[in-house]
Amino acid sequence: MNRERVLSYVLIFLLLFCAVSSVYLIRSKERGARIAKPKIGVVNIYGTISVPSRTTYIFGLRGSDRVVQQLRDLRRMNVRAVVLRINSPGGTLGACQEIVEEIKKLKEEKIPVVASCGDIAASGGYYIASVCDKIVLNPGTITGSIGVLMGTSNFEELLKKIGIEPEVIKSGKYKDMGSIYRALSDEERKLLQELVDETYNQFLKTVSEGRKIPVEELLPLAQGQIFTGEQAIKYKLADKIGNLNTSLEVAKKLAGIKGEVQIIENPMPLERFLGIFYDGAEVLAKLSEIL
Amino acid sequence: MMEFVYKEPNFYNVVFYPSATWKSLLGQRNFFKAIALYFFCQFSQIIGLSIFHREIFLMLPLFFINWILTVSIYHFTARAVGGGGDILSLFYLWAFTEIPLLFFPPAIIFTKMVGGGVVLLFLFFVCIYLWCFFLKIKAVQQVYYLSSLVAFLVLIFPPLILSFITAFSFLIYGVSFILW
Repeated sequence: MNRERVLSYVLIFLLLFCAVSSVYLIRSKERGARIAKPKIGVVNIYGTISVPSRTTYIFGLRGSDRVVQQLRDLRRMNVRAVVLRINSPGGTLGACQEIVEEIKKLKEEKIPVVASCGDIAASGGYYIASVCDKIVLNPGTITGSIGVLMGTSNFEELLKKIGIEPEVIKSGKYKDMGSIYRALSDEERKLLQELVDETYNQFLKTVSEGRKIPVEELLPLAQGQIFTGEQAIKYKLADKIGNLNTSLEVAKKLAGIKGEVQIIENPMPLERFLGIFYDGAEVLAKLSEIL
Repeated sequence: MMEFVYKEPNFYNVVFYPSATWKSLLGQRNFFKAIALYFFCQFSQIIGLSIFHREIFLMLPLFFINWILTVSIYHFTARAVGGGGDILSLFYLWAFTEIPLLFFPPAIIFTKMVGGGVVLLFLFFVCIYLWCFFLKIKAVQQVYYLSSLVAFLVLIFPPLILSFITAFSFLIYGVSFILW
Protein backbone atom coordinates (compact mmCIF):
# COMPACT_ATOMS: atom_id res chain seq x y z
CA MET A 1 0.00 0.00 0.00
CA ASN A 2 1.53 3.34 -0.98
CA ARG A 3 1.99 6.33 1.29
CA GLU A 4 -0.80 8.42 -0.27
CA ARG A 5 -3.37 5.67 0.15
CA VAL A 6 -2.46 5.23 3.82
CA LEU A 7 -2.73 8.98 4.34
CA SER A 8 -6.13 8.91 2.63
CA TYR A 9 -7.46 6.42 5.15
CA VAL A 10 -5.96 8.40 8.04
CA LEU A 11 -7.52 11.59 6.72
CA ILE A 12 -10.95 9.98 6.24
CA PHE A 13 -10.76 8.52 9.73
CA LEU A 14 -9.82 11.89 11.25
CA LEU A 15 -12.60 13.71 9.40
CA LEU A 16 -15.18 11.12 10.47
CA PHE A 17 -13.92 11.29 14.03
CA CYS A 18 -14.22 15.08 14.01
CA ALA A 19 -17.71 14.93 12.48
CA VAL A 20 -18.94 12.47 15.11
CA SER A 21 -17.26 14.46 17.89
CA SER A 22 -18.85 17.70 16.65
CA VAL A 23 -22.32 16.14 16.56
CA TYR A 24 -21.72 14.75 20.05
CA LEU A 25 -20.49 18.15 21.25
CA ILE A 26 -23.51 19.98 19.82
CA ARG A 27 -25.98 17.35 21.02
CA SER A 28 -24.51 17.14 24.53
CA LYS A 29 -24.69 20.93 24.87
CA GLU A 30 -28.29 20.90 23.71
CA ARG A 31 -29.16 17.93 25.92
CA GLY A 32 -27.45 19.61 28.85
CA ALA A 33 -29.46 22.75 28.28
CA ARG A 34 -32.63 20.71 27.97
CA ILE A 35 -31.99 18.70 31.13
CA ALA A 36 -30.97 21.72 33.11
CA LYS A 37 -33.94 23.87 32.19
CA PRO A 38 -37.60 22.98 32.56
CA LYS A 39 -39.74 23.90 29.57
CA ILE A 40 -42.54 26.43 29.31
CA GLY A 41 -44.52 26.62 26.07
CA VAL A 42 -45.78 29.87 24.62
CA VAL A 43 -48.62 29.79 22.10
CA ASN A 44 -49.81 32.89 20.28
CA ILE A 45 -53.51 33.44 19.59
CA TYR A 46 -53.65 36.54 17.44
CA GLY A 47 -56.51 38.02 15.40
CA THR A 48 -59.95 36.63 14.79
CA ILE A 49 -60.18 33.05 15.95
CA SER A 50 -61.73 30.66 13.46
CA VAL A 51 -61.36 27.22 11.97
CA PRO A 52 -59.49 27.80 8.70
CA SER A 53 -61.38 27.39 5.47
CA ARG A 54 -58.58 25.38 3.89
CA THR A 55 -57.26 22.22 5.47
CA THR A 56 -53.73 22.12 4.13
CA TYR A 57 -51.09 24.79 3.84
CA ILE A 58 -47.51 24.72 2.65
CA PHE A 59 -46.21 25.96 5.98
CA GLY A 60 -48.54 23.98 8.23
CA LEU A 61 -51.90 24.56 9.81
CA ARG A 62 -53.57 27.91 10.35
CA GLY A 63 -56.26 29.37 12.61
CA SER A 64 -57.58 27.39 15.54
CA ASP A 65 -56.26 24.13 14.04
CA ARG A 66 -52.74 25.45 14.46
CA VAL A 67 -53.31 26.46 18.08
CA VAL A 68 -54.87 23.07 18.86
CA GLN A 69 -51.93 21.25 17.29
CA GLN A 70 -49.38 23.43 19.07
CA LEU A 71 -51.05 22.79 22.42
CA ARG A 72 -51.11 19.07 21.72
CA ASP A 73 -47.44 19.09 20.73
CA LEU A 74 -46.51 20.98 23.88
CA ARG A 75 -48.42 18.43 25.97
CA ARG A 76 -46.42 15.65 24.30
CA MET A 77 -43.16 17.52 24.87
CA ASN A 78 -43.83 17.41 28.60
CA VAL A 79 -43.71 21.14 29.17
CA ARG A 80 -44.14 22.19 32.78
CA ALA A 81 -46.48 25.10 31.97
CA VAL A 82 -48.07 26.88 29.03
CA VAL A 83 -48.58 30.59 28.44
CA LEU A 84 -51.23 31.60 25.94
CA ARG A 85 -50.45 34.98 24.46
CA ILE A 86 -53.88 36.28 23.48
CA ASN A 87 -54.47 39.35 21.35
CA SER A 88 -57.84 38.70 19.81
CA PRO A 89 -61.20 40.45 19.55
CA GLY A 90 -62.95 37.06 19.48
CA GLY A 91 -64.00 34.57 16.89
CA THR A 92 -66.33 31.72 16.13
CA LEU A 93 -67.67 29.63 18.97
CA GLY A 94 -66.65 26.28 17.47
CA ALA A 95 -63.03 27.36 16.98
CA CYS A 96 -62.81 28.74 20.53
CA GLN A 97 -64.34 25.56 21.95
CA GLU A 98 -61.76 23.43 20.14
CA ILE A 99 -58.96 25.44 21.76
CA VAL A 100 -60.66 25.30 25.15
CA GLU A 101 -60.92 21.51 24.88
CA GLU A 102 -57.16 21.29 24.35
CA ILE A 103 -56.48 23.63 27.29
CA LYS A 104 -58.62 21.40 29.49
CA LYS A 105 -56.52 18.40 28.46
CA LEU A 106 -53.40 20.26 29.58
CA LYS A 107 -55.04 21.06 32.90
CA GLU A 108 -56.07 17.42 33.32
CA GLU A 109 -52.38 16.53 33.08
CA LYS A 110 -51.66 19.11 35.81
CA ILE A 111 -49.94 21.48 33.40
CA PRO A 112 -50.81 25.02 34.45
CA VAL A 113 -52.00 27.35 31.70
CA VAL A 114 -51.68 31.13 32.01
CA ALA A 115 -53.37 33.63 29.70
CA SER A 116 -51.33 36.70 28.85
CA CYS A 117 -53.56 39.29 27.21
CA GLY A 118 -52.11 42.01 24.99
CA ASP A 119 -54.16 44.84 23.49
CA ILE A 120 -57.42 42.97 23.43
CA ALA A 121 -58.86 39.71 24.71
CA ALA A 122 -62.55 40.13 24.20
CA SER A 123 -65.46 37.78 23.52
CA GLY A 124 -63.93 34.53 22.16
CA GLY A 125 -60.50 35.75 23.27
CA TYR A 126 -61.77 36.10 26.82
CA TYR A 127 -63.70 32.82 26.50
CA ILE A 128 -60.36 31.04 25.96
CA ALA A 129 -58.59 33.05 28.67
CA SER A 130 -61.31 32.25 31.20
CA VAL A 131 -60.47 28.53 31.24
CA CYS A 132 -56.81 29.22 32.01
CA ASP A 133 -55.55 28.94 35.58
CA LYS A 134 -54.60 32.60 35.71
CA ILE A 135 -55.29 35.64 33.53
CA VAL A 136 -52.60 38.31 33.32
CA LEU A 137 -53.38 41.48 31.40
CA ASN A 138 -52.32 45.10 31.00
CA PRO A 139 -54.17 47.93 32.75
CA GLY A 140 -55.49 49.08 29.38
CA THR A 141 -56.25 45.68 27.82
CA ILE A 142 -59.75 45.60 26.37
CA THR A 143 -61.47 42.51 27.67
CA GLY A 144 -64.88 41.11 28.54
CA SER A 145 -67.56 41.34 25.84
CA ILE A 146 -69.06 38.15 27.23
CA GLY A 147 -71.94 37.44 24.93
CA VAL A 148 -72.99 36.05 21.60
CA LEU A 149 -74.27 37.88 18.55
CA MET A 150 -75.66 36.84 15.24
CA GLY A 151 -76.61 39.21 12.47
CA THR A 152 -78.02 39.34 8.98
CA SER A 153 -79.22 42.07 6.62
CA ASN A 154 -82.47 42.32 4.78
CA PHE A 155 -81.96 43.57 1.21
CA GLU A 156 -85.53 42.75 0.08
CA GLU A 157 -86.59 46.37 -0.56
CA LEU A 158 -83.29 47.26 -2.23
CA LEU A 159 -83.53 44.28 -4.57
CA LYS A 160 -87.10 45.25 -5.48
CA LYS A 161 -85.97 48.79 -6.32
CA ILE A 162 -83.33 47.57 -8.74
CA GLY A 163 -85.69 45.04 -10.25
CA ILE A 164 -84.30 41.79 -8.86
CA GLU A 165 -86.69 39.20 -7.59
CA PRO A 166 -84.82 36.26 -6.03
CA GLU A 167 -86.31 32.80 -6.47
CA VAL A 168 -85.50 30.31 -3.73
CA ILE A 169 -86.37 26.64 -3.95
CA LYS A 170 -86.03 25.01 -0.57
CA SER A 171 -86.59 21.67 1.08
CA GLY A 172 -87.80 23.01 4.43
CA LYS A 173 -89.39 26.23 5.63
CA TYR A 174 -86.33 27.23 7.67
CA LYS A 175 -83.72 26.42 5.04
CA ASP A 176 -83.26 30.04 3.92
CA MET A 177 -83.55 31.42 7.43
CA GLY A 178 -81.34 34.50 7.75
CA SER A 179 -81.20 34.98 3.99
CA ILE A 180 -80.57 38.53 2.76
CA TYR A 181 -83.49 38.20 0.32
CA ARG A 182 -86.26 38.52 2.89
CA ALA A 183 -87.07 39.57 6.44
CA LEU A 184 -87.05 37.07 9.30
CA SER A 185 -90.44 35.73 10.37
CA ASP A 186 -91.34 35.83 14.08
CA GLU A 187 -90.98 32.08 14.28
CA GLU A 188 -87.51 32.22 12.74
CA ARG A 189 -86.48 35.10 14.98
CA LYS A 190 -87.54 32.99 17.98
CA LEU A 191 -85.54 30.01 16.70
CA LEU A 192 -82.41 32.09 16.17
CA GLN A 193 -82.84 33.78 19.55
CA GLU A 194 -82.99 30.33 21.16
CA LEU A 195 -79.79 29.41 19.32
CA VAL A 196 -78.04 32.57 20.51
CA ASP A 197 -79.32 32.00 24.08
CA GLU A 198 -78.09 28.42 24.04
CA THR A 199 -74.59 29.39 22.91
CA TYR A 200 -74.61 32.29 25.38
CA ASN A 201 -75.38 29.82 28.17
CA GLN A 202 -72.47 27.66 27.04
CA PHE A 203 -70.24 30.75 27.14
CA LEU A 204 -71.52 31.71 30.60
CA LYS A 205 -71.07 28.20 31.95
CA THR A 206 -67.48 28.01 30.69
CA VAL A 207 -66.54 31.42 32.13
CA SER A 208 -68.35 30.67 35.38
CA GLU A 209 -66.51 27.37 35.81
CA GLY A 210 -63.19 28.78 34.68
CA ARG A 211 -63.28 31.87 36.87
CA LYS A 212 -65.21 30.19 39.69
CA ILE A 213 -67.83 32.93 39.70
CA PRO A 214 -71.45 31.85 40.19
CA VAL A 215 -73.61 32.42 37.10
CA GLU A 216 -75.94 34.80 38.98
CA GLU A 217 -72.95 36.94 39.94
CA LEU A 218 -71.50 36.77 36.43
CA LEU A 219 -74.73 37.62 34.62
CA PRO A 220 -74.61 41.42 35.16
CA LEU A 221 -71.02 41.43 33.88
CA ALA A 222 -71.91 39.31 30.88
CA GLN A 223 -74.19 41.63 28.97
CA GLY A 224 -71.68 42.19 26.21
CA GLN A 225 -69.94 45.13 27.89
CA ILE A 226 -66.17 45.55 27.64
CA PHE A 227 -63.76 46.26 30.49
CA THR A 228 -60.27 47.59 30.90
CA GLY A 229 -57.68 45.35 32.52
CA GLU A 230 -58.02 47.13 35.83
CA GLN A 231 -61.82 46.88 35.78
CA ALA A 232 -61.56 43.18 34.92
CA ILE A 233 -59.41 42.59 38.02
CA LYS A 234 -61.89 44.55 40.12
CA TYR A 235 -64.73 42.30 38.88
CA LYS A 236 -62.59 39.15 39.33
CA LEU A 237 -62.58 38.50 35.60
CA ALA A 238 -58.76 38.53 35.65
CA ASP A 239 -56.01 37.93 38.22
CA LYS A 240 -52.99 40.11 37.72
CA ILE A 241 -51.69 43.17 35.90
CA GLY A 242 -48.57 42.46 33.90
CA ASN A 243 -46.97 41.72 30.54
CA LEU A 244 -45.77 38.50 28.92
CA ASN A 245 -42.78 38.26 31.25
CA THR A 246 -45.07 38.57 34.27
CA SER A 247 -47.20 35.78 32.78
CA LEU A 248 -44.10 33.59 32.45
CA GLU A 249 -43.25 34.28 36.08
CA VAL A 250 -46.81 33.36 37.09
CA ALA A 251 -46.56 30.17 35.03
CA LYS A 252 -43.23 29.31 36.69
CA LYS A 253 -44.73 29.84 40.10
CA LEU A 254 -47.77 27.69 39.31
CA ALA A 255 -45.52 24.94 37.97
CA GLY A 256 -43.24 25.19 40.99
CA ILE A 257 -40.21 26.09 38.90
CA LYS A 258 -37.31 27.96 40.39
CA GLY A 259 -34.49 29.36 38.26
CA GLU A 260 -34.19 29.54 34.50
CA VAL A 261 -36.60 27.96 32.05
CA GLN A 262 -36.46 27.00 28.42
CA ILE A 263 -39.14 28.80 26.42
CA ILE A 264 -40.62 26.79 23.58
CA GLU A 265 -42.40 29.10 21.21
CA ASN A 266 -42.76 26.88 18.22
CA PRO A 267 -43.15 23.16 18.77
CA MET A 268 -44.12 22.37 15.16
CA PRO A 269 -41.26 20.48 13.42
CA LEU A 270 -41.70 21.99 9.97
CA GLU A 271 -41.57 25.53 11.32
CA ARG A 272 -38.53 24.71 13.43
CA PHE A 273 -36.92 23.38 10.24
CA LEU A 274 -37.81 26.51 8.24
CA GLY A 275 -36.56 28.60 11.11
CA ILE A 276 -33.07 27.31 10.40
CA PHE A 277 -32.96 29.56 7.33
CA TYR A 278 -33.77 32.85 8.98
CA ASP A 279 -32.41 32.32 12.48
CA GLY A 280 -28.86 33.35 11.56
CA ALA A 281 -28.41 35.18 14.85
CA GLU A 282 -29.57 32.14 16.76
CA VAL A 283 -27.07 29.95 14.86
CA LEU A 284 -24.26 32.31 15.88
CA ALA A 285 -25.47 32.35 19.48
CA LYS A 286 -25.59 28.58 19.46
CA LEU A 287 -22.05 28.38 18.07
CA SER A 288 -20.71 30.71 20.74
CA GLU A 289 -22.52 28.60 23.35
CA ILE A 290 -20.84 25.44 22.05
CA LEU A 291 -17.44 27.08 21.96
CA MET B 1 2.79 23.84 -22.85
CA MET B 2 0.27 22.22 -20.52
CA GLU B 3 1.61 19.75 -18.05
CA PHE B 4 -0.34 16.51 -17.88
CA VAL B 5 0.14 15.11 -14.40
CA TYR B 6 -2.15 12.30 -13.31
CA LYS B 7 -2.52 11.26 -9.71
CA GLU B 8 -3.98 8.08 -8.31
CA PRO B 9 -7.59 8.92 -7.39
CA ASN B 10 -7.55 8.55 -3.62
CA PHE B 11 -8.84 10.88 -0.93
CA TYR B 12 -5.42 12.30 -0.03
CA ASN B 13 -4.72 13.28 -3.63
CA VAL B 14 -8.22 14.68 -4.14
CA VAL B 15 -7.66 17.01 -1.19
CA PHE B 16 -4.04 17.99 -1.79
CA TYR B 17 -3.64 17.60 -5.57
CA PRO B 18 -7.16 18.29 -6.81
CA SER B 19 -6.41 19.37 -10.35
CA ALA B 20 -4.18 16.39 -11.16
CA THR B 21 -6.48 13.87 -9.48
CA TRP B 22 -9.62 15.20 -11.16
CA LYS B 23 -8.12 14.24 -14.53
CA SER B 24 -7.96 10.61 -13.43
CA LEU B 25 -11.40 10.86 -11.77
CA LEU B 26 -13.00 12.21 -14.95
CA GLY B 27 -11.88 9.05 -16.68
CA GLN B 28 -13.76 6.88 -14.17
CA ARG B 29 -16.89 9.02 -13.52
CA ASN B 30 -18.32 7.09 -10.60
CA PHE B 31 -21.49 9.14 -9.99
CA PHE B 32 -22.52 7.08 -6.99
CA LYS B 33 -19.30 8.11 -5.21
CA ALA B 34 -19.81 11.73 -6.28
CA ILE B 35 -23.35 11.84 -4.88
CA ALA B 36 -22.27 10.22 -1.61
CA LEU B 37 -19.38 12.67 -1.31
CA TYR B 38 -21.61 15.65 -2.07
CA PHE B 39 -24.08 14.72 0.66
CA PHE B 40 -21.30 14.04 3.18
CA CYS B 41 -19.90 17.49 2.43
CA GLN B 42 -23.29 19.14 2.87
CA PHE B 43 -23.85 17.33 6.16
CA SER B 44 -20.44 18.43 7.38
CA GLN B 45 -21.41 21.99 6.58
CA ILE B 46 -24.66 21.55 8.48
CA ILE B 47 -22.80 20.12 11.47
CA GLY B 48 -20.37 23.00 11.22
CA LEU B 49 -23.16 25.53 11.31
CA SER B 50 -24.60 23.49 14.24
CA ILE B 51 -28.03 23.31 12.72
CA PHE B 52 -28.14 19.53 12.74
CA HIS B 53 -31.80 18.72 13.35
CA ARG B 54 -33.78 15.63 12.52
CA GLU B 55 -35.72 17.72 9.99
CA ILE B 56 -32.54 18.39 8.05
CA PHE B 57 -33.10 15.11 6.19
CA LEU B 58 -36.03 16.83 4.50
CA MET B 59 -33.41 18.95 2.77
CA LEU B 60 -31.86 16.03 0.87
CA PRO B 61 -33.92 16.62 -2.29
CA LEU B 62 -33.19 20.35 -2.01
CA PHE B 63 -29.44 19.68 -1.93
CA PHE B 64 -29.75 17.59 -5.04
CA ILE B 65 -31.89 20.17 -6.87
CA ASN B 66 -29.45 22.89 -5.82
CA TRP B 67 -26.56 20.86 -7.22
CA ILE B 68 -28.28 20.34 -10.58
CA LEU B 69 -29.44 23.95 -10.85
CA THR B 70 -26.08 25.44 -9.94
CA VAL B 71 -24.19 23.25 -12.36
CA SER B 72 -26.71 23.99 -15.14
CA ILE B 73 -26.38 27.74 -14.66
CA TYR B 74 -22.57 27.59 -14.68
CA HIS B 75 -22.57 25.27 -17.67
CA PHE B 76 -24.74 27.74 -19.57
CA THR B 77 -22.50 30.66 -18.59
CA ALA B 78 -19.31 28.77 -19.42
CA ARG B 79 -20.65 27.78 -22.84
CA ALA B 80 -21.80 31.36 -23.43
CA VAL B 81 -18.23 32.62 -22.99
CA GLY B 82 -16.91 30.01 -25.40
CA GLY B 83 -16.10 27.10 -23.09
CA GLY B 84 -16.14 23.66 -24.69
CA GLY B 85 -16.83 21.17 -21.90
CA ASP B 86 -19.78 18.95 -21.06
CA ILE B 87 -22.24 19.38 -18.21
CA LEU B 88 -21.79 15.85 -16.81
CA SER B 89 -18.09 16.45 -16.18
CA LEU B 90 -18.85 19.66 -14.30
CA PHE B 91 -21.66 17.94 -12.38
CA TYR B 92 -19.26 15.19 -11.41
CA LEU B 93 -16.37 17.47 -10.43
CA TRP B 94 -18.69 19.83 -8.54
CA ALA B 95 -19.01 17.21 -5.79
CA PHE B 96 -15.22 17.20 -5.40
CA THR B 97 -15.10 20.99 -5.18
CA GLU B 98 -17.23 20.72 -2.03
CA ILE B 99 -14.58 18.64 -0.22
CA PRO B 100 -13.34 21.59 1.89
CA LEU B 101 -16.75 21.55 3.60
CA LEU B 102 -15.63 18.29 5.24
CA PHE B 103 -13.26 20.43 7.29
CA PHE B 104 -16.06 22.22 9.12
CA PRO B 105 -16.17 19.70 12.02
CA PRO B 106 -12.35 19.70 12.47
CA ALA B 107 -12.53 23.52 12.55
CA ILE B 108 -15.04 23.31 15.40
CA ILE B 109 -12.97 20.78 17.32
CA PHE B 110 -9.77 22.75 16.80
CA THR B 111 -11.39 26.03 17.88
CA LYS B 112 -12.77 24.28 20.96
CA MET B 113 -9.34 22.78 21.75
CA VAL B 114 -7.45 26.07 21.50
CA GLY B 115 -10.21 27.90 23.34
CA GLY B 116 -10.91 30.23 20.42
CA GLY B 117 -14.21 32.00 20.06
CA VAL B 118 -16.71 32.53 17.28
CA VAL B 119 -14.36 34.95 15.50
CA LEU B 120 -11.71 32.27 15.01
CA LEU B 121 -14.32 29.79 13.87
CA PHE B 122 -15.75 32.38 11.51
CA LEU B 123 -12.27 32.89 10.01
CA PHE B 124 -11.96 29.14 9.52
CA PHE B 125 -15.33 29.09 7.79
CA VAL B 126 -14.29 31.96 5.50
CA CYS B 127 -11.10 30.07 4.59
CA ILE B 128 -13.09 26.91 3.87
CA TYR B 129 -15.54 28.75 1.61
CA LEU B 130 -12.66 30.48 -0.19
CA TRP B 131 -10.99 27.11 -0.69
CA CYS B 132 -14.25 25.79 -2.17
CA PHE B 133 -14.47 28.80 -4.45
CA PHE B 134 -10.92 28.33 -5.75
CA LEU B 135 -11.63 24.66 -6.40
CA LYS B 136 -14.74 25.63 -8.35
CA ILE B 137 -12.65 28.02 -10.47
CA LYS B 138 -10.24 25.13 -11.12
CA ALA B 139 -13.11 22.80 -12.03
CA VAL B 140 -14.67 25.24 -14.51
CA GLN B 141 -11.24 25.98 -15.92
CA GLN B 142 -10.48 22.28 -16.35
CA VAL B 143 -13.84 21.18 -17.78
CA TYR B 144 -14.34 24.08 -20.21
CA TYR B 145 -10.69 24.77 -21.09
CA LEU B 146 -10.92 28.40 -19.92
CA SER B 147 -8.35 30.70 -18.39
CA SER B 148 -8.45 31.29 -14.61
CA LEU B 149 -9.81 34.81 -15.08
CA VAL B 150 -12.63 33.72 -17.40
CA ALA B 151 -13.48 30.81 -15.07
CA PHE B 152 -13.61 33.29 -12.19
CA LEU B 153 -15.93 35.54 -14.22
CA VAL B 154 -18.13 32.54 -15.12
CA LEU B 155 -18.58 31.82 -11.42
CA ILE B 156 -19.13 35.39 -10.38
CA PHE B 157 -21.43 36.46 -13.23
CA PRO B 158 -24.69 34.56 -12.33
CA PRO B 159 -24.74 35.68 -8.65
CA LEU B 160 -24.04 39.25 -9.80
CA ILE B 161 -26.90 39.15 -12.30
CA LEU B 162 -29.19 37.67 -9.65
CA SER B 163 -28.24 40.39 -7.17
CA PHE B 164 -28.84 43.04 -9.83
CA ILE B 165 -32.29 41.62 -10.68
CA THR B 166 -33.21 41.45 -6.99
CA ALA B 167 -32.06 45.02 -6.36
CA PHE B 168 -33.86 46.22 -9.49
CA SER B 169 -37.09 44.42 -8.45
CA PHE B 170 -36.94 46.08 -5.05
CA LEU B 171 -36.39 49.42 -6.73
CA ILE B 172 -39.35 48.94 -9.10
CA TYR B 173 -41.52 47.73 -6.25
CA GLY B 174 -40.52 50.71 -4.13
CA VAL B 175 -41.27 53.18 -6.92
CA SER B 176 -44.66 51.61 -7.73
CA PHE B 177 -45.48 51.57 -4.03
CA ILE B 178 -44.77 55.30 -3.73
CA LEU B 179 -46.75 56.11 -6.89
CA TRP B 180 -49.77 54.21 -5.72
